[in-house]
Amino acid sequence: MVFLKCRQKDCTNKTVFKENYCFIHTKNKEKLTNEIHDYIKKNKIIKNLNFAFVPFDNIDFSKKEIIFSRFYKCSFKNANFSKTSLYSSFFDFTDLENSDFSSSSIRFVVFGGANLNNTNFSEVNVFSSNFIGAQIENTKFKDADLSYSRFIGAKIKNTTFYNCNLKKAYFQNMNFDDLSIKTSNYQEAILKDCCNGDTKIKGYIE
Amino acid sequence: MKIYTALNPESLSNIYLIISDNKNYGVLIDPGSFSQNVYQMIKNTSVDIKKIIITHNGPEQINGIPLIKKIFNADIYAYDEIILDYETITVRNDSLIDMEEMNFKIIETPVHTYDSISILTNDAIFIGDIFQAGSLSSFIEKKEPSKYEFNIIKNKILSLTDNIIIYPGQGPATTLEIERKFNPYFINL
Repeated sequence: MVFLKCRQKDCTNKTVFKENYCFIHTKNKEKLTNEIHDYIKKNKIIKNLNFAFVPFDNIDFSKKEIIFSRFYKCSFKNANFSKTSLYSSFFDFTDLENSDFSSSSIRFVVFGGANLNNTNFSEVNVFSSNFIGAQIENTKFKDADLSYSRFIGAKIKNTTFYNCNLKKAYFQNMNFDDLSIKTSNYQEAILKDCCNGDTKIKGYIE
Repeated sequence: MKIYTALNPESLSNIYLIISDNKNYGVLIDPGSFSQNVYQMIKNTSVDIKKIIITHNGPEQINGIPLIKKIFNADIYAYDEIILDYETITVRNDSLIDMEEMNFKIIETPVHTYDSISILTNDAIFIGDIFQAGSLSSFIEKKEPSKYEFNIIKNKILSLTDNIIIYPGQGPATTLEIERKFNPYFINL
């Protein structure tokens, strides 16, 4: 992923979509947003594009392939990612509240610092992905493969991990306030200073 | 430029393939194995591997080299002069490696091992095992880097611009902004 620098003097952002400026320095943001939404609607494969700061609330990404793309600080409230394939893409510091990732495939994807409140991760296949520092409240991980993913520094509250594969998933300083963690193979996870209610829980590495 | 990742099935370390936009040539970083998935990754992109860059001389970084060298006439770039039985093109701080429109700048980062280097290209940096997303180089060994080593990370990596993407030798990718804000070992640096 290499994106060109925004032409605005002293701006360190990258050019958005097929423009010469970043989204912040685009003059007609509404027109560009509509163009991008239209592009998403018409294309099954979204590849090698930068969408930093673009709003995607209520947009349907279901069954699409998202590859080598960057969505830094985008808003995806109520967005639909069900049955979507995401590979090597960046959703860092995005707002994904109420979005749906059910039955999606997520490989080498970064959600660091994202808001994942009320998000549905049922039957997802997540591999080696980054949830570091994410805010995860009232979110459902059900029958999900979360192996080799990292949740260090994530703020997890009222979130279920029901029947998930947590092999080498990495959690640190976390209180799983929901008993559902016991239905997953947490013994194979890396749990540093983690507890379930008042009880310390142990993974394969403490 | 596109960056593909394959997992070394034995050590679960990352093997990166970087290809230029015109898709002729590729650079491999840390080919610790040449297993079926690595072979498939290269085959799918149909690129000619011209260069291999090694972040440090360890089995998880080099064990795939003999098989790769049987197929591709690739030069090996590393801190050490010899890797396995192959002569390398040695690199030091600020060494530049160019290929088509891609260029790679070497930063010496002797944290995990004396010969550890990081590789900066455009908005991406490959850091080998000097740290991982949200943690240090190894969470199994409980050895923390010394103050000297923390300073190397701070001055040579964390001082880069926020939008740099970090590709570690183990685990998922991350960004400098994520590491500065959430890596418990770096928050107070």
